Amino acid sequence: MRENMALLRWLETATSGIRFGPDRLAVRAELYAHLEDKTLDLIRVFPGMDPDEARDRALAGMGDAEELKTELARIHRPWLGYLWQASRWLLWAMSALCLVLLINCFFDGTVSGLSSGLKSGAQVQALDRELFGDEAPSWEGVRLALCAPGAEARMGGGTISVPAAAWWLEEGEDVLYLQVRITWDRPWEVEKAVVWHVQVRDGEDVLDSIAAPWSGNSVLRGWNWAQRTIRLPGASRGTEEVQVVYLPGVPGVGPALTVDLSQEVEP
Amino acid sequence: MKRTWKLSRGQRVVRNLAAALLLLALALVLAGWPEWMGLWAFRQLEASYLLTPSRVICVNRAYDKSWAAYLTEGEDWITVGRATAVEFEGLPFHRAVPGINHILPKEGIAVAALPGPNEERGMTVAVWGAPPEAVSGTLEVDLIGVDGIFWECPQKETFSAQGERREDGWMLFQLAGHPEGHGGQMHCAMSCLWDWDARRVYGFVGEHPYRLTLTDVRGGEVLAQSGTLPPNQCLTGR
Repeated sequence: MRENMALLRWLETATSGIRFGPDRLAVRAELYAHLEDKTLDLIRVFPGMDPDEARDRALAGMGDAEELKTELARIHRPWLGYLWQASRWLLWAMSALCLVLLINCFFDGTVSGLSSGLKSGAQVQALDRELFGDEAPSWEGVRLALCAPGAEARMGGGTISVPAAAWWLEEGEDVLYLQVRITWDRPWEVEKAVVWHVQVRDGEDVLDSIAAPWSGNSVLRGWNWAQRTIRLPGASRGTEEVQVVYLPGVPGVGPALTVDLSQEVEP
Repeated sequence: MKRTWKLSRGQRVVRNLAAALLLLALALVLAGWPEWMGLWAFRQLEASYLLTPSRVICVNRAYDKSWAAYLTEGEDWITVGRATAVEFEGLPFHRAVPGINHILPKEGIAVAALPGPNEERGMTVAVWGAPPEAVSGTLEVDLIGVDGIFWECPQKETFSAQGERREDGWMLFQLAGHPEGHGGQMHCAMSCLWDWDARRVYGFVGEHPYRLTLTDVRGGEVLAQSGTLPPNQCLTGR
């Protein structure tokens, strides 16, 4: 107990000049480990030596605690330690802030709506599964055909495509649903509002997009894409192709995608 | 395997601070472009609308520093827009909210006014597509029925400027406001146009009539054209 107290006192004195707490603890642990090594070395060299005596001799070999205190205080500048700790906290805080904002920006899965049918991302995804997938519709309607349009065009740093199209019969009327997607090469350029700037034409005729209560006017956003499902009640079933025009107000700037509706995949 | 090198504490501080600064910049961009990043915000909006690559032809920074108007040029198109400094609840800074007013195809002669005042509180009208022999020109713009929110300038007031063809083919006409003689109105129509609230509400110059005359090196008339400034297409983002 006496020896332990002496050891603790020596360690306390030697490290008391270090004002930065984490450094003080680290140096203390290092000195303690060093003392233990020295003690074990003495016992190994002199097998008959009493462990307490070995520790005393090891401690004596470590030098004067006061002198060491002065030297350690000179080496360990507290402001650098505090600055280092502050920089670590700052880095963590910034990382957390960016993470929250990234989640907000990229994975919101939200939709923007016009006057009718503001839907959540999950609702839009569910609607897409009903329109183009295998799920039964939650409204009065029958899918007549699913098409494989495969239309795609490059512009600037992105691609405009029509990944899916389907014919539906709703209240005795043919309705064409088109998925229009814009995929950006750089995810930070994704902007949901852009997918509103498309127009669907059948030859010279502009097909009006009219939302229904179940479809709403909605846009779904992924990490590097935004997608809009357009409902076109004015299209007639015999139509073999339509054009999806990007930036219709500026002729010749945005591409016009020809969407082939003649290739029906399945009802 | 034991690591053979280790950064000193000072180096780690520098590394952490540099990384924190980068993250702060990213956070600012994600939270909304701060006011001083107006051009970046506008270029970002252009990129979002797939209008890249493009180059900046002209920037008009308003005298009150809260507004900037941009003219850029792509391969087949011309873009005119602005970035506005807007206060947002919860943000400790003003955000630069960008908007594209016009996308014009590079066909024929394109005439468009920048939707923000220059530092002399004047108006910049850009002309693209002038015939090669046209080296200079005169532009007249009639501002009619300008709503300045707090006061109106219903009468027609005509502004004119001379311009020269630049090396890149563009002609920029800098129309100055009138210090006096506003056609019977109290205020100059251009002051009404550039009133902060009017800019904020309308966001663009308006469809005002113009007359453009282009001349060759001998002063002979090459082309005379009249029309109206293009309508606002209002392409915005979040």
